[in-house]
Amino acid sequence: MDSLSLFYPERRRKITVTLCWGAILASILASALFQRSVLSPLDTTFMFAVGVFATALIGDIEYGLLGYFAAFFLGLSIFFLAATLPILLGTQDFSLLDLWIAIIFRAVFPFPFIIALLGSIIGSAVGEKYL
Amino acid sequence: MEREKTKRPMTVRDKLTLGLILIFLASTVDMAVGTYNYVAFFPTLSHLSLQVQSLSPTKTANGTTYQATFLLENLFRYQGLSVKGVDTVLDIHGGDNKSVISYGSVPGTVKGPLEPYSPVKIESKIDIIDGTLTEFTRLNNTVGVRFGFTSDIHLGTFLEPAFLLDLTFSCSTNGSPQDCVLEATDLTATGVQVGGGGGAA
Repeated sequence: MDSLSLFYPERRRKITVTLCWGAILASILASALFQRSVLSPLDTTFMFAVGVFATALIGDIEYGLLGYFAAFFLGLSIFFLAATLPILLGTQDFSLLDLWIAIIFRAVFPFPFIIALLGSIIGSAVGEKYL
Repeated sequence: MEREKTKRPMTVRDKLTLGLILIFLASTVDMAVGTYNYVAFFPTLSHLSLQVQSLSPTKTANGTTYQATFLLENLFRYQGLSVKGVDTVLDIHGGDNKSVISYGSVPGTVKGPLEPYSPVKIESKIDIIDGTLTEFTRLNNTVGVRFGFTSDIHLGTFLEPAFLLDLTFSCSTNGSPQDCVLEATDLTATGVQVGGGGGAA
């Protein structure tokens, strides 16, 4: 099977992986926080697993860490945009912003953030060694 | 050179990257569905209805027991609400609308999900000692009585445990089916700390 040169050069793969990683993080946050406003241990495990998987594909510890912060920022931004959609649709006022900032920061920091970061470090090491 | 790139065999890393893209596509669909439902949450708060479906008297040994049946319904598409409890207070009003007997709290509990367009039935029993209503109307020189209910409905939402949603309805009926009026919607902070990666309560 031939590659479609989709991920060549490697920089293109890194960008693709980071974008997908960020979107998946946003989805994990959405499926958790839109249902119960807290992250369960299972959600944190998913964040860890995605971190391991994505950085293993990147296979470069330096870019892996940079990618982690980029993906996390992207994921939070996408989720925040979705969470504040009622303001854009005119069904809620701006007090919703304060509510979601409080929920997101309480839910994500510090443990899920640290655990996902740990996953990224482990993934980078696995990617460098085995992939 | 370009030709060489396209002929490059697909590596394990390429296959796994495609796997990640598939996960991304699936999670994007999941997020879109979740967001569509979430966006309906706030409009739903003004589309909840309570109705007195019936108020039927039954003679007992020392009085009358009224069986009040309420229907609580979510008239919007949002999924994820659950009824945590109901507190109903009854005042019996005379026909002149001035005289009142405060009956107090009416028992009636219901718990469970409040699915869209699927009404939840709340049943309450009201015991009235023989002669009370007759004496009440005679003393106040009125004809007939109306039952005035004030119901506080506690709903579970995705904002638990940090916030609680309470709805207050009031209804007045002489026994016939009656829609209740939504008096207040309160989203109150409980002060409960959420998140921190711990397990959900």
